[in-house]
Amino acid sequence: MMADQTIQKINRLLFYAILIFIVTVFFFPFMWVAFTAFQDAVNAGAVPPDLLAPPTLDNFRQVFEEGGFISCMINSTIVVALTLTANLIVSLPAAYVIARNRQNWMMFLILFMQMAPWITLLLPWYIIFKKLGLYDTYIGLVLSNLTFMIPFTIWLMLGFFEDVPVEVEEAAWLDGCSHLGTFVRIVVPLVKGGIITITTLGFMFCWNIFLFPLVLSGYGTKTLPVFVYGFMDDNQLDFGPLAAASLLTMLPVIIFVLINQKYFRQGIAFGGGK
Amino acid sequence: MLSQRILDYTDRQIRWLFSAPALLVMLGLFAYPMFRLIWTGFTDEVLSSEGKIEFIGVANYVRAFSEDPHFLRSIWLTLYFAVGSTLGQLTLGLGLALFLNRQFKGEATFRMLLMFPIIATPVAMSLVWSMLMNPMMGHLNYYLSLLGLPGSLWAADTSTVLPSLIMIELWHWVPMTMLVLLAGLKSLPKEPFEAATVDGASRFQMFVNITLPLLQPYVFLLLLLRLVHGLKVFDKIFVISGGGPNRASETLNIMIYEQAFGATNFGYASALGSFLLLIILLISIGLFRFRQRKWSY
Repeated sequence: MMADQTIQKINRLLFYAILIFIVTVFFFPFMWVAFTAFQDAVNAGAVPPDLLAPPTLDNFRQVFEEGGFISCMINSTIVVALTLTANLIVSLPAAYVIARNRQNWMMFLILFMQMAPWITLLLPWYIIFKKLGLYDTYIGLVLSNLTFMIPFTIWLMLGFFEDVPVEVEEAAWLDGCSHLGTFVRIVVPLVKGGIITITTLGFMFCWNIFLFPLVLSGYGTKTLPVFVYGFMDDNQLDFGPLAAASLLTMLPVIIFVLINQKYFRQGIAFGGGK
Repeated sequence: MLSQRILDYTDRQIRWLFSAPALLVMLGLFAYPMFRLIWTGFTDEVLSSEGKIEFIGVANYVRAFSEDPHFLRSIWLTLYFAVGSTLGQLTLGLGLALFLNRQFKGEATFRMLLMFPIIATPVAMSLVWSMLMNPMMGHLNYYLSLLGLPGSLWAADTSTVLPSLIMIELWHWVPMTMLVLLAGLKSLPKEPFEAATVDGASRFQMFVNITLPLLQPYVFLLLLLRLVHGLKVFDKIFVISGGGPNRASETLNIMIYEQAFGATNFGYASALGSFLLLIILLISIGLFRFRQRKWSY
């Protein structure tokens, strides 16, 4: 009896020890960046670091003084907001129609569009965007983001729309609602969960995307990830400012997703990630 | 009455009306560019050239397969990275999912912390990792020295650069495969396990004979999805090693980028891109067939 309890206790202890180890492995880079961002030039690159060194805000000052940081953050925000809005307007009706008339070839196309490597889209886009004057414009960046957002949104929303009983629509329809009215007033509110999921994941995809703006944005529309990449070249071994820039770049997306954690987890479990 | 008729008309056309915007965007930004990519692959187009673009047949493909020694090497590097990280993600993800498939205190906090790698901006985290992996000032070598192990050059050496990148890829995505597989484990029916317990089966026997077969659709689906993802990874490699040192981590994606925007060989880069696209298309067909057979949604 006693022995059983002891074994159970040791088991539990072991479980939590392994758990803490796992958390440390995955969370450690975040602790490092949060620590280093507040260290002065001497301590930021020191091994072992002085854990008790007084924190400083100099690194953040340097990031803001670098020029462009704030405008890049504004650019990122504008592109994300425009993409997410346009995405809902364009994708929701399409997902609804496809959910009601699902066909195999459509499903394959939607899947393939999510699979296609971004670099293969980027090559022709570069030429086309330059020709059409979309290079270095918000619209260009929004369009490039829509290309992966639309198939993903349709894919995810299909299940939500299929759960809406057709009877609900017919009832609204008999009451004299048009299809568009039924869709906007009756169906869309019923798939609110899907919309929040899409917005959460979409915020993450669009905030984090690097390859498209790397090539398609110029001085006028540079987004944060591209800024960080350039900042890295300018400050090769200056760990403090680099850590501060990284931290500032990822903070908004982490906060936004954590607020919508539940929906984020649903989306990840569904889509298997991008 | 006219408005009623217009409404009736739109109701009939609603399918097209509703899907038209998405269809137009995808035609313009996906279908046409894909066509243009394949076509450009058969030309000698050079970036920013005003000269005439000439149709040169399969010359770009001949060049890739017989004249450019780095092409075959980059295919190998791409497969190495994609297969290595896919297998790693699945084994570690499955291991962690099995380990965590129980209820414990602090589960919510644990899950929240594990979500961070998935959410954080990859470029920023790549920058963080490249600092951690710095051979002189980085923390990783310091921890190795604490354990009495020799330091590594990580991404700065031709022999360790790809394993280092795979390690970062695992750090990034193992939480995701774990969450998916954990959801899979939790959705498995309870009866087979109860029956096996009654019959006195060991935990290992239950794992091999019940858990794995039941989990197989999840594992296989993840396998294909992660493989396709691995074949497309760009950000990490570009930021951390830039394809180097000495092109030792220049996978197909990086090579295409460099050929197009570095060497300005747009025709050649497009041919390489078409090749990559073909591979992805074949895997997508496999994935789709599988999904139809075993996946109900």
